[in-house]
Amino acid sequence: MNHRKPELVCPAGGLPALKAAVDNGADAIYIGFRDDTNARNFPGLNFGPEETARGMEYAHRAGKKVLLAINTYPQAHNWAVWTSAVDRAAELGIDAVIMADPGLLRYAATHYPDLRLHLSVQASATTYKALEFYHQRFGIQRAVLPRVLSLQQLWHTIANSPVEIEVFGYGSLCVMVEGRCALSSYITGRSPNASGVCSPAESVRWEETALGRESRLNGVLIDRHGLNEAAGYPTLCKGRYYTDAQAYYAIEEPTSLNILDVLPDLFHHGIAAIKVEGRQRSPAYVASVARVLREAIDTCAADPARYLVRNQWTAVLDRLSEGQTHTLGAYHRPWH
Amino acid sequence: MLGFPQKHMTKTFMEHGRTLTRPFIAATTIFMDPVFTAIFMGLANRVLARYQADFLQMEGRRIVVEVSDLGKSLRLVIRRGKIAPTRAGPVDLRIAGNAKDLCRLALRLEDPDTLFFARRLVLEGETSVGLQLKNILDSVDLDWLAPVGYLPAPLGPRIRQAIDHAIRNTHADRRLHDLLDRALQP
Ligand code: SF4
Repeated sequence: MNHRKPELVCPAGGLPALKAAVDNGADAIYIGFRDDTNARNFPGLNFGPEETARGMEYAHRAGKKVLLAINTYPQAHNWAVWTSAVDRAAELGIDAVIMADPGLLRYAATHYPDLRLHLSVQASATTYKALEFYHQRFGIQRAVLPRVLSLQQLWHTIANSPVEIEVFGYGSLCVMVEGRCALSSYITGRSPNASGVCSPAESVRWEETALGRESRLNGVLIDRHGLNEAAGYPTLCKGRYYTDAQAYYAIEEPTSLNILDVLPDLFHHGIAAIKVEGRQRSPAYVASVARVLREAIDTCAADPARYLVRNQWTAVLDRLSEGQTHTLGAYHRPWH
Repeated sequence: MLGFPQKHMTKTFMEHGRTLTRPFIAATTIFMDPVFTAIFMGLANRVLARYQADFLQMEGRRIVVEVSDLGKSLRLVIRRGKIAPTRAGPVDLRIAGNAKDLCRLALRLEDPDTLFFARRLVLEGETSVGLQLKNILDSVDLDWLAPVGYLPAPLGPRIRQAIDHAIRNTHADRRLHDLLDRALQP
């Protein structure tokens, strides 16, 4: 095996989650500031200046990296909020900034040539040609690919990419070409790209009725789960709809991505990093997922030919998953 | 004559034993006791003082936490940026779950979204208040070594560093976490 072991990149929505990630084997932890400059702009979540400094100290002391997501798109009237986030990141000495907006990438590249730039999944770059562009123009050093490519497409992209490739390894799925989904804005007026949130909590209502748990987005019923039926996040893409007289998951089922099955292939093709979704999740989630993926990556690195997914890993991850099941998502799509 | 006290003793012993095997029920029962609730609220508000700005955003919200298997509930209100117990009345947010799950949540051994997907946690009413509370609780950094750090330099920081190293090297915190986790198996 001539490729190095991929980095394990874990999410943290607060200091305890960051510590849990560091303690349980993450190589890098990605965080966001407490505002709409990142795609998990939830009340009470994320890092203020003091927490960021303490988190970086904790991670660096353990030899781990801290990456900062500034991955939403500024508008003309709030441009300064985003550039000031970049300024703060550079001042703090963040190990890399994860960004999507070309204007902002240009700002970072001109003002802080030493700041390492990663292309966010929100940029929706799915071809190596697009990566070439971001690399030439802004000097990005890594790209996080959307969860829409099949394995064949992924191998092709990695083989021709001028930059390192990071893919999602575990977590909730966002099925549209990420960063371009308008479902949330359609029903709530707010979208991941502009407001950093899909299905904002103010628009979500759950009600336990005699028929089961009803989920509503802005008053519109999007799903009803029977008594013991496992549920997922209340996003429009994971609602059940009537197409032919019968209601079913017409767009995507509530399930989580899990790439443990194809880990040796990812190693073989030279993936640089494996990312875990879920800055909105708790420290307990981060600890469990980091532990499982750390063990799996180390096992695979030791002997990829004899690597086998352990039942226990799958059990731990499935329990934490939406719908309590997992999928390989687009990776296993036979057509491309 | 001897029979009675013996029987009585056996019973209390067994009751005691049962309580021990179900620490979560014991914990929730204690928590529901008004005196403990008051003390707990005091402590919680101290820890949460840093998050006053967040709590001010939830001003006036009334929350009920129902422990479904015990048939008990705790009513809270957010007033002047703090949490306080309150009496019956309409609520803005209802959280319900069994004693074990709620205890595991409070001890941060469990991920709330996981319980929610598994239908073991109910959240009704103002979702955003529930989410905000969850995120605040998840971001409380319980740094019990902080007071040591305040001792005069170089003593304080050095002691702190030594304890810190010891914990890291022995993974004492992780072991304690695993121990608790096993005691309160999901
Ligand atoms: S609706 Fe679904 S696909 Fe669209 S942004 Fe939200 S999670 Fe992603």
